[in-house]
Amino acid sequence: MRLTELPAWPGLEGLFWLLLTLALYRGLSMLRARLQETAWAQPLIWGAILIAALLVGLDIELARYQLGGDWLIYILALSTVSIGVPIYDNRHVIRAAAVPFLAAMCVGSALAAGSAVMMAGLLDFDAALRATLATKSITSPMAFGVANEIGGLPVLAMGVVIVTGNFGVLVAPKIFQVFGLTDPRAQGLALGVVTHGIGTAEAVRRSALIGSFAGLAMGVNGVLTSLVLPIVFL
Amino acid sequence: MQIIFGLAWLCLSLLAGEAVKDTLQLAIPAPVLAVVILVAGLGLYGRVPDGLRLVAEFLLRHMALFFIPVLVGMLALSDLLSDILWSLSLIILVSTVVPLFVTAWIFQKLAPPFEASSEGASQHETD
Repeated sequence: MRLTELPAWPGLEGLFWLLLTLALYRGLSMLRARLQETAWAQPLIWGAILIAALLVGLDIELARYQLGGDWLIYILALSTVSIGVPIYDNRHVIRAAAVPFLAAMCVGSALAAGSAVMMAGLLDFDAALRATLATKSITSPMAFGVANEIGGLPVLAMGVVIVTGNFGVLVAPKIFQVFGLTDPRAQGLALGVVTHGIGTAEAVRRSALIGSFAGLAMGVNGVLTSLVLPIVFL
Repeated sequence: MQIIFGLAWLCLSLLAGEAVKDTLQLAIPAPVLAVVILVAGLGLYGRVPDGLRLVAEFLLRHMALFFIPVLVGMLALSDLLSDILWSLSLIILVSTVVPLFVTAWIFQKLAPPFEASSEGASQHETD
């Protein structure tokens, strides 16, 4: 993302799409609260599906939606930087269990990206798709930038990360239960490394401890993987 | 006014991230470098300024909103997606379930029992 370019002025049409996106996000957030915060009711997924359906149904070009939508994407860079605040807040938490934290994080992260790239190779995916999948264990705003740097498809990279997050949040409680993984720190760490922002948001709702481990794992893993991937792929 | 300073912290970190990236010709996204710079900056400053906390918490809480246009943008990839939908779903399934288990398992094996190191964590709840 080049931060030096000025976005196109959204105009009447762009402002309409921008407002519609805001309204849908607000409405769907309220709906989720009504549904006891169920993991199925992600405002992000349903908002995007509704807008996409509207664009396809009315035969409207994507570029016209993006006149407004792009404005929100520019704020993403600032959101990404904000991850630094919880990392700083939780520096004591990581210090208390630094070695297991880093060991589990590195293995988990390498496994998530490695297994995806390996399967992509077996299924004959091309180089751009493999590079895209390599970013799947990085939180999505960072995945966007990294995919750009290593020759992947940034939009697909974020889509894969978001789908992974939603799916992971749905299956994680079952996995933890079946394998007797009861340590809340271990649960938070796994959610942060594998399911990123969506899992972290979920973890925060369960408890502050799980949430702080998830947030920290997401941030540290995102930064470390972003530093390593360009070296591996270029 | 606090919010202005909070935004300034984030923008300055991004600016520094861009500068480092351009100077050293790195293939690392500027926002990622900016996170590292922000954490280092907060370490030097000694605490999180109120305005920065206000802005950062807002941006993190509503991150999903800023992603909606990105996900809608996947419409442009619909041809590619319909080709690889099933294999991609299989890849996501395996590469999500296995690491979830392995990551939590390794930590639980290696970490001292939970009660022993919980004081660092309870500190966070007062933040």
